[in-house]
Amino acid sequence: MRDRSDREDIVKVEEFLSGELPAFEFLFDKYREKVYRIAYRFTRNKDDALEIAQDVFLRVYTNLGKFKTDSKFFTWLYRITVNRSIDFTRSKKTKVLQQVGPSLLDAQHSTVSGRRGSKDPSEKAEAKELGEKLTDAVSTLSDKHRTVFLLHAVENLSYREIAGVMDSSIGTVMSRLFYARQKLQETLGNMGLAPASKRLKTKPGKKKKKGG
Amino acid sequence: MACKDIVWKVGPFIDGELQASERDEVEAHLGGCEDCCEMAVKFRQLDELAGQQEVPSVSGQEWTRLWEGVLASQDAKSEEKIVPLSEAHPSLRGQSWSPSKRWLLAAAAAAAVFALGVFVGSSLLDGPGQDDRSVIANDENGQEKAIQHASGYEPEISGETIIYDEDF
Repeated sequence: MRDRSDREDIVKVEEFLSGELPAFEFLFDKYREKVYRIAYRFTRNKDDALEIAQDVFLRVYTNLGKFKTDSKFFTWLYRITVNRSIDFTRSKKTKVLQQVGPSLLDAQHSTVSGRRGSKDPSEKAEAKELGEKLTDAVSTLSDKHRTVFLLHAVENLSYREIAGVMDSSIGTVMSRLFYARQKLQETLGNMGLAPASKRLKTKPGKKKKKGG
Repeated sequence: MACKDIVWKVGPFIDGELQASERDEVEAHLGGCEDCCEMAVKFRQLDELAGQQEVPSVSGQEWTRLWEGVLASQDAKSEEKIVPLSEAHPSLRGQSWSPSKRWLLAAAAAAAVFALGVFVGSSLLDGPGQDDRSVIANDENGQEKAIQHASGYEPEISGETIIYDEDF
């Protein structure tokens, strides 16, 4: 079922396909931040994320005629964004490993080991470090697990929306998210930085933000 | 219910993705199971922590540059693909069209009409000229190309992955 935002998107897509450039500009303005943000989560570099965003919108511009208007535009757009981000990080990772070699990984490992013994860090510094390590841990996930986790935890997409982006079932999304979270906990735990355990006090059902 | 049956539902539970009946079931289990409850808390903390990570802001100027880059790249791409229609295979026609170039095509069409007028006029005075005729034919095809594309023709994209069908 389409909401108002989805219907608006389809109208703009159809306007653009009939030759109205401002309709594409509207879609660009509406989604540029989201596209950039997703790309940034994958690349962790502003310039790279902007480069991906430009590439994504260029592809959308060129391929909009292929978009099936019975689908949701933002799902299609996010899929392109995720694909481009994954491609970009893969090529970047390969380049870095070729340039630096395994010594970088050794150095990272010793840094993490050295930080485990830090004495009495303030709560804020601890949270910041934990955040940084989580970001590192997310980057070690497989593409599928990382994508599900980022789209859910960062972009607040529902399982159904993620399934649409990844062209998979809701069950697959659930399973990938479960393994992603488990793996992240494990990785953070190995770093001695796992989130503190507390009893569940709040009511379930995180408030969802619309993906589009 | 055993932990192994609940553990898969802990994530969907904190995400608000379960039906009411399942939600009650998981909630009841969490109330009496320290391990599953701890897992729920950790899952939520992970999400919150991930959501807190800041993304550098992008200025209006940077967005403008990016937008202009999209248009410029699109134009460059179109220029690369422009092949004289007399040489192009019929299946390739329509690939170079873009909305930003419609005015160019309109201008080309106007030029064609003008040239046709000149040609007809000069033919009446001097007789047919073979070279002029071929130029006019190319321009007229250019106009047809735009109409054909605007009516919904889908160009094939060579050398690129078809993103929509890409499998994760």
